Amino acid sequence: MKLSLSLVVVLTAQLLTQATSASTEIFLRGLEVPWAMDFAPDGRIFLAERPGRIRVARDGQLQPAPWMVIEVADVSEAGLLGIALDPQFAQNRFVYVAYTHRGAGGRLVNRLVRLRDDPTTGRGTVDRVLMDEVQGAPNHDGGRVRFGPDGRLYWTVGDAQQQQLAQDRASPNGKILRLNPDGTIPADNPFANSPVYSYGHRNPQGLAWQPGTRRLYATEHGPSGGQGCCRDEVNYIEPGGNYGWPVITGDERRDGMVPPIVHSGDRATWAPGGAVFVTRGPWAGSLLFTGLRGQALYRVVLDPNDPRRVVTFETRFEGQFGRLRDVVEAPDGALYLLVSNRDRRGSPAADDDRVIRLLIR
Amino acid sequence: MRGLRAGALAVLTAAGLASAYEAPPALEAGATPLPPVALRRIAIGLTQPVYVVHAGDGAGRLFVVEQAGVIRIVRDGQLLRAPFLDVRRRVIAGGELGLLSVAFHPRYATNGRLFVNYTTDGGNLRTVIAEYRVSAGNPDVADVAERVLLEIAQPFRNHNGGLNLFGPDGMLYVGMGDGGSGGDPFNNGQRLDALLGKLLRIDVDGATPYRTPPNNPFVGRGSARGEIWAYGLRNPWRFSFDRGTGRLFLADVGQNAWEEVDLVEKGQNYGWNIMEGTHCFNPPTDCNTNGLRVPIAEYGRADGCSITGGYVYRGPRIPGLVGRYLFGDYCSGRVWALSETAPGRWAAAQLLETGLRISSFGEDQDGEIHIVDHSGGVYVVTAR
Repeated sequence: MKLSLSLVVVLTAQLLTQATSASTEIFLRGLEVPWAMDFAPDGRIFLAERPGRIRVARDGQLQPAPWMVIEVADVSEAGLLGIALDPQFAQNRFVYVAYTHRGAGGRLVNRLVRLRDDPTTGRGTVDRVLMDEVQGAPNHDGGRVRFGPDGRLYWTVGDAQQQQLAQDRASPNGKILRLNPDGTIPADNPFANSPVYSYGHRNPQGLAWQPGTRRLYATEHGPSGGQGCCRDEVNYIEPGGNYGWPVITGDERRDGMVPPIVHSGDRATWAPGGAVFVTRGPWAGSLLFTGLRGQALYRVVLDPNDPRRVVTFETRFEGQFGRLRDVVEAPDGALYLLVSNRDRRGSPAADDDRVIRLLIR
Repeated sequence: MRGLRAGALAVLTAAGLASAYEAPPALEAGATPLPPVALRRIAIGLTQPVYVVHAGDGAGRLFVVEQAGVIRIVRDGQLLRAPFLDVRRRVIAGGELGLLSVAFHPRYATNGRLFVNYTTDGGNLRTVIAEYRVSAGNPDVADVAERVLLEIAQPFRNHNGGLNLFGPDGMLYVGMGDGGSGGDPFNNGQRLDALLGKLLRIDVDGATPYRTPPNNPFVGRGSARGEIWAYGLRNPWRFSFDRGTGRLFLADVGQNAWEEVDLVEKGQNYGWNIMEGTHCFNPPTDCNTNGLRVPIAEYGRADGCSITGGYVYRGPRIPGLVGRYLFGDYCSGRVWALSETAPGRWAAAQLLETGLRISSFGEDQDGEIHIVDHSGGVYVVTAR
């Protein structure tokens, strides 16, 4: 089955690249591991740099002074990870971040914090800690923070290198969590009085909702060691679903566990980062996600009548920019790629890390 | 202990920390004047001590629990070099985790049984309640053989409760936190099918590994856990029975604003996470307070940030203190005395400004009250 899908990929990729043209330009330079980015209605762009700085770009210019500095544990894959602005940012000025820090005793701990943009100083202050003391680890801290179309706050949490936690519904690790913006539990969560939205995840780092259907898709890093290679996943997330880690991976099946809609197989690694659905232009409706190890942008076209069926899978810009951490769509329809060559695993160019602006025509 | 969390917050920005808290009014003054008291240090050089207790065997020893997993003996004002028990290899410590208490069996003098409460990891973080025994040959050393009574999974690294204490009824009471994070995300405090966010009561003599006493309030009630004695707790950080009246005083650490003292009765609901102290928490206004017990005392951030429960003084040396409940705050180092000025009416007054990081109180066998400083000392409260 993997083989036939690959053939489809190659054929359609060629067809579609003929039909569209992509232009890229360097939008920002000199960042350090920009992990996530979001857009304020006043035109400011907020970027989270993994070592702990929240930066702001305005009119295409990176402001030299950080909006806020957070003391994080900048080790291996950990640090300042996701950032998301409140859908009502114009009214409440709330900014949400997830990060790994050193708790008491030096242990790695993940937390989700609500910050506030101070209108007088234009800098960030702490509003409140929404969720705290979530087990951390040098790797597998998840960290994506995004608002869903339902106005709820979603946070991906990795298994913190303790894989059995993913199947423990009383643990926040190895989960996609869903919260109200004030940190309380939504009454319509799949498990009563629990922030758990889906479970059985290893290290999910991309969240994207399909326009129109509001279906949620998530990317997830597959195993890299003793449990075989690769099997990076794209999952169609349904509330309460068990996505199988560490019991099943790849094409394996088990009653009550949901396999991915596509995975990278046993030879190829994407190391998938952020994900987004495109809403405008020739790629409208496509699911995009980035590859760190794969150093590419992946584009998935889904069957509108079958949320689990992949019609097209193509690989773009492979090796062109290096490691790609996240992809976002701006309010004006432009796409931005966050380059991550200074994350201790890449080969940085002089002006890395960059943010690439991508226009598809 | 919660001060550690506040400390971690402070690295974000000092301004953010300040704005996160309200400034509630200070405690009321007590009705009758308090006797002048002082502290006398009886031990120093301990590593992160979190509890002190006597064995009830008339031997005059105090047992100090070090958070990393060691129990040490203080005898005649001397800290013995050799540990009574060292379970560091089993314990995960740091922050609010660790070896958190030990309880000696009411008949310890004859049966040598003791019960520890600690956190461990190895993939699934959990609280362990386990029995050890004193060694046959040396009363100052316990055997390392362990018998586990109960394990309770901990979803987060904070709010572990952790006090084992025998009541006057001979039952073992165990204080469990809500599982941690903030705001009780899994609603454990109000769930009767979970052991987190509860005061538990078990019988260590009736069966193996333990027996659930049939007169516990939720025995036989559907999915409710029979071990539960009282619920709606956030992080009970020390509780005690009044030697004079048998009443159970429990200190429950607050979330953002309010620290509380509860008078705990069988089967009652102490409100978390619907209420924090006497204030609505979830929802923040117009919460349903039906059936909830409110604390007998509470204080806000002007007085401290993490309550540590103590004891009703019943000792012989400070007559003016008899019948008052002493408690303190880990962050501010203050100690208050709480008095019942009329039935059901309570007033607290500040007794001491210690400057200590008060991780626990404790009693010796006579009923003199001790204070444990997390920085490494143990003190006794004396008349001045």
